[in-house]
Amino acid sequence: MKKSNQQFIIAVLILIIVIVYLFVTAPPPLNNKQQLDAQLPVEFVLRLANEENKVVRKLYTKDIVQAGTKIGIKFDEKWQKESVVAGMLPAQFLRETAMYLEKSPVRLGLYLGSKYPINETNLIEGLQATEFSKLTNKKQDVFFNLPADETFVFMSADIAVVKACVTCHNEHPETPKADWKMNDIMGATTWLYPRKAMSVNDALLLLSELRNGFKYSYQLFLNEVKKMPKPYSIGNKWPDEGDFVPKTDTFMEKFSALASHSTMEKLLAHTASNN
Amino acid sequence: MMVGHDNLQCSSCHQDEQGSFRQQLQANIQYLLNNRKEAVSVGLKPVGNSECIKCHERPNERHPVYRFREPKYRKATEKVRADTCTACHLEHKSKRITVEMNYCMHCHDTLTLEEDPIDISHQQLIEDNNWSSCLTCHDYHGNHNMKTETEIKKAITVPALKKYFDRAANPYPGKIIHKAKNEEK
Repeated sequence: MKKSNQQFIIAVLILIIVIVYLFVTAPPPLNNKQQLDAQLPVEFVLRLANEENKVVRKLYTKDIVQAGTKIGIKFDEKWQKESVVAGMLPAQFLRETAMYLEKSPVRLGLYLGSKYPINETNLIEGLQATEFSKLTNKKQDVFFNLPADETFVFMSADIAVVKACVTCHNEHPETPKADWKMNDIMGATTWLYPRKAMSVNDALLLLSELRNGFKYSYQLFLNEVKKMPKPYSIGNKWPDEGDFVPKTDTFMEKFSALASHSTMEKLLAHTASNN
Repeated sequence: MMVGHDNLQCSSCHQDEQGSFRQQLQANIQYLLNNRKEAVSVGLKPVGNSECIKCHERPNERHPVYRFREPKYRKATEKVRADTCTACHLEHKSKRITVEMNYCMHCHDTLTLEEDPIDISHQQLIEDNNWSSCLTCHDYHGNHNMKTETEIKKAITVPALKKYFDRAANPYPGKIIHKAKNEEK
């Protein structure tokens, strides 16, 4: 046999071995997270997350911040300074939750922004600003994706539903707008997720991690309460009952009672309509 | 290794990718052939923010990485990937910080202060393109309990800071507020 023929046969054999090694699936193929069971559109899941966030925010604002202020609990935007002993403001509750999410395996982004933010870093700009204008004009939440990559964005209006929000923003020394009124759209909550669909499991993990984020933020608030000069009893009671502050489990139980039914109903309805 | 990481095990940061070597190669070939939507790593998974934050979580973080994933920071993150820890703290380099000192310019170039507290104004420093000066007064992560200088000459010098970026001792005044988890023990 000619040498060139031998080389050809060896090359073909090597090629066959490489093809068998790379394509013949003797070991089962690896899970493809994006393809398996990815039937829930990200917009649907982000809407659920947003509803849960609205519930926790209202609960913290009314039952903790408003009621807590009446029994002498201080709330201060500089609560994280060592020299300040105070609870966080509602917007900061959200920010701490977003910080928690960074530690979790879920790639969920959560941001709060406004056209007139007190903190300049929360200014809505660029494409977000364009979408925010649509949101304010139509008074409807918006969903879009970023053209540069596979990031999906859901923006939901932050409406002034609690008097304290309006008063604080109007009276803040650094506010760029001091004529907020009740029911104004003060800004938007922005959610980011890097895929257009997810499995039910991934959606449940996302919602569960979001709730863990709420828990984490609330625990940070309790850590401050424990440092306050006036002693507050941390347990099963709420500030509107006296000098009490609910423990984390009590807070989360009330949150769950307010949010879980709606979330579960929506998940079931969506699953039923797609099967 | 980076300062403080000398005694860490590889598995402290690196986790195995799912599957065998052969499965990983097959998955990537299928990805290249457009038969699968996700590529996989071969051998070890890349180290992400969550691995870093497990030890370096700081409640009062001034520049949390997650903030930079917001769409408005897209232009800035094209210049400096502030949305990932490893963009500035590249491991296995024997340095603390592996970027140049002027990265503040990508976000703060339009900075204006109504009442500027320092003797050479921020405006002037920006006009002079003196971006290395930012970190001589400000600690990026806000992890030092320090008062910001109002006189530039009293601030840390740029060479001293560069040495710190490499491996030298911490020149920032004030105690470190949040230590890494393994340092707490």
